[in-house]
This record gives sequence, structure tokens and C-alpha cells, in this order.
Amino acid sequence: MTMPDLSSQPAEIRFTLEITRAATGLVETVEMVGHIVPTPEAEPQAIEGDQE
Amino acid sequence: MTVSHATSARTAATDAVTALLGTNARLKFHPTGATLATPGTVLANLPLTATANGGFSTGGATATAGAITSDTAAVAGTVAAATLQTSGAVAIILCAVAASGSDINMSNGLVLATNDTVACSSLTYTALPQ
Repeated sequence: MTMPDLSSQPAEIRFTLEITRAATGLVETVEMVGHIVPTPEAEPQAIEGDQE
Repeated sequence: MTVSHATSARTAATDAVTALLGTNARLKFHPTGATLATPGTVLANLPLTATANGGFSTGGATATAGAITSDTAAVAGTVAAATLQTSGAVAIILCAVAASGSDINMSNGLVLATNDTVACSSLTYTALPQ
């Protein structure tokens, strides 16, 4: 008998970065989203970013 | 099959994870190749509010971080991952990152030059999204 595969949505981090460029003094604002990377034991795969 | 969780379960999961961050936690950014066991090169290292749960709010499915101190990039590189680490540099959360919408061209990723100042004005964590 095969066990059912239960999985939920991946955890998520959202953050807003403000980068002040040393060379120009310009400030860039970036909204970022990160999805938790599965551990190698759980699901081996390369780091990937998800773009919304 | 996708699993759904009650709000109480989602809240418990988020609080349990942020509790592991303890006090004086850090938000760190890394180039490609970072793992939980070996986050590797740190492009920027931002201290979170020095309170329990990594300075995150508790009691909700999504936790919001308190004030975060900015940092100056000591090493140039392209941000590929972020970690939330304890004061002892143990990574509790590792995530891949990408731009989700901004006014600048992110086609080449978020590139930091040496001495660029990195500030984080908003940070939320959700252990179990709906």
C-alpha cells in the first residue's frame, strides 16, 4: 500500500529592501519574495527564485 | 494533494519557527550556493530587533519583524538567498529570493557593490501559507 503524498504550500518570506548605491548615492527600493528552500533530504533540487 | 491548515495551526507553526531565532537574530543575504548548514558568503548582515522570536510579532499566521538595522555590503555579489540566523550564526530559515516588482530593472538580479547600504523596511514570515 502506498502512503498518500500530503504537501502544503511552501513557507514564504517577503521583504522590502532599500539599497543606497555607494557610487551614486541613489536609493533603489526593491520588494522581494523568498520561498523556503527544501532541505536536500526532503527534496534535492537547486536553489530557485520565484518571480511574481 | 495540497494540505490546508486552520489559522490556529498556521499561527502555531510561525511562532514555533520564529521562537528558534531567539534574541539578537540576523537577516543575512548570500550569493548562490548558500545552504542551511553552510550559508557561506555574507553580502549583507542586518541585525533584527533584539527581542525574543527574532524581533518578530507573535500570535498570527504571518509574523512581522520589528525595526531592522541597515548594513553596508562588505563584499560585492548578486543576492540569491537570504537566511534568518540566530545570534550564534545558526541558520534557521533559508530562502531563495527574487524581485517581485519594483521600479528598477531586475533582469540581472539584485547586484550589490561593495559599500552599498542595504536597509530592510519590511519583513514578514509565513510558515504555512493558505
